[in-house]
Amino acid sequence: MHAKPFSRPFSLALLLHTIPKANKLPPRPKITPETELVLKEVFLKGGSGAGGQKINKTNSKVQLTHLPTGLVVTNQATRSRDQNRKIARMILAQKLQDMESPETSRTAVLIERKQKIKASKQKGSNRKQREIEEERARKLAVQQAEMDRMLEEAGLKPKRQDEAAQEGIGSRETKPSGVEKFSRGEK
Amino acid sequence: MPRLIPQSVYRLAAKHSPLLPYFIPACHNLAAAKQELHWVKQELPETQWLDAARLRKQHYPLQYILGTQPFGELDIRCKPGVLIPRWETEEWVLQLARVLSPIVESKQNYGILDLCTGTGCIPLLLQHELGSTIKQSKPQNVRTIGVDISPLAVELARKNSQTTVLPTQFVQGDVFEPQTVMASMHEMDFRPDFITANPPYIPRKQFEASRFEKSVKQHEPELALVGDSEFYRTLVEKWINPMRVQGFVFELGEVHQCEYTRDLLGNDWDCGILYDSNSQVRCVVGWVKGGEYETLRGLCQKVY
Ligand SMILES: C[S@@+](CC[C@H](N)C(=O)[O-])C[C@H]1O[C@@H](n2cnc3c(N)ncnc32)[C@H](O)[C@@H]1O
Repeated sequence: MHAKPFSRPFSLALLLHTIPKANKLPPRPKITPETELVLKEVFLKGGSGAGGQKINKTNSKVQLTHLPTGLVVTNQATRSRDQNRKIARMILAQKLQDMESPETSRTAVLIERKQKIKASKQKGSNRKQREIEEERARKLAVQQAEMDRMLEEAGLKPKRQDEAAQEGIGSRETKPSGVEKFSRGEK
Repeated sequence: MPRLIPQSVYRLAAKHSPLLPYFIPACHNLAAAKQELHWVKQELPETQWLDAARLRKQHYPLQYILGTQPFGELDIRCKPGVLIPRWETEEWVLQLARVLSPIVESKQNYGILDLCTGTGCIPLLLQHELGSTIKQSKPQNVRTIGVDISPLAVELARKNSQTTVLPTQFVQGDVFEPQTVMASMHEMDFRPDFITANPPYIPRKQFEASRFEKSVKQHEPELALVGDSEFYRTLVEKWINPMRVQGFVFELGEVHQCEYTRDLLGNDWDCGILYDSNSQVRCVVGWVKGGEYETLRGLCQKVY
């Protein structure tokens, strides 16, 4: 057992090592001033007409359209229109990057990272499962040994088939139910 | 314009959350109601949710319930008795800040005066956008002052300058009686280079009409809402001209208010109309011809 104590921690460490840290992820892409020129921004207020002092709307929804690609982003995450404009730009910049470089975009790295984390958790949980099963098997073995000892003390130790045949105590009827299991297992 | 909301909308709302139907009358649709309930839950303790929902059912403004309205990067406190800042105002103030920025930067000192200031949202946001922050080592060269006739407004505006940590100052006064305010400004050693104002601009007739938005009429102060050309006259004749300011932006709601203001200006002035992103007439913008404020032209979709 102690021959390879490092094998598992080592492989796990190697795996974790390849998962980029949250703070080492590629930076969020930004909308450049040139891109800003080809954006159409609309503020969705639900109904038009009167405005200014005449009405008090809480709607702060922003809709951005990237004219060259037709990509549309809407956002109303906060009560602040200013904030929503910034968030919409972040989302749009990300979508554009995903479209332009699907393999290397921040999203691709994020997805890969998530998968790796999941895999490492999976691996962890596989190992846990194995440990639970080993523990259960060990308990079972101990219980069996204990039972064997008790049966032996009671003079009912299940014998091997040949022994049982020799001593003439192999018949089912004479055996307590607990013993039956053992004898069946022995067959 | 009262819109009839189908019963099914209320049923759907109730399925989602027992509090949601309360938000339907003010929000009209499910999505907007969900959004508002989400904000209420986010910003208020659970013990206040039901009260908030009940108030909202009476069309009580969400900003009075939550106590604030975002305005640019600022959070402006709101209280009953003082008009809630509108997104249209936020929009032009941010546009104006971009145009004023290079002018302000070229000056040793720069003063902006905001008349009819309410919560103080306009001078506070301009101070925030144009003034140097503590982080920048530049000395503060921008000063902003707000004036309002309502003591409630002045008190709230001062509180807002505290919570936003901006050095904007506030003076109580009447725009039709400029002497006392001017004396105060003189004492404060303040001289404005630019004037902004969002005076009450809803003509009395419109305000009294039955189709006028009832949540505004019932819950926001009439003093902040009802007004017309008289305000634009006093702004030009008693403030712009005597103070020899070279540029201004006044918010308004009617084309005739634009034309009225234009006709008050001397031959040495140019002026234009700024439309909001909802394509409504929103501001009259004025600048002295050939001066450093020619860049204000960029704010206007129409120049007279
Ligand atoms: C439409 S509100 C604008 C508030 C704020 N500037 C904003 O944009 O949210 C008009 C403000 O003008 C103030 N006001 C009304 N009559 C006034 C007067 N004669 N002199 C000074 N302020 C006045 C009201 O108290 C109110 O706060």
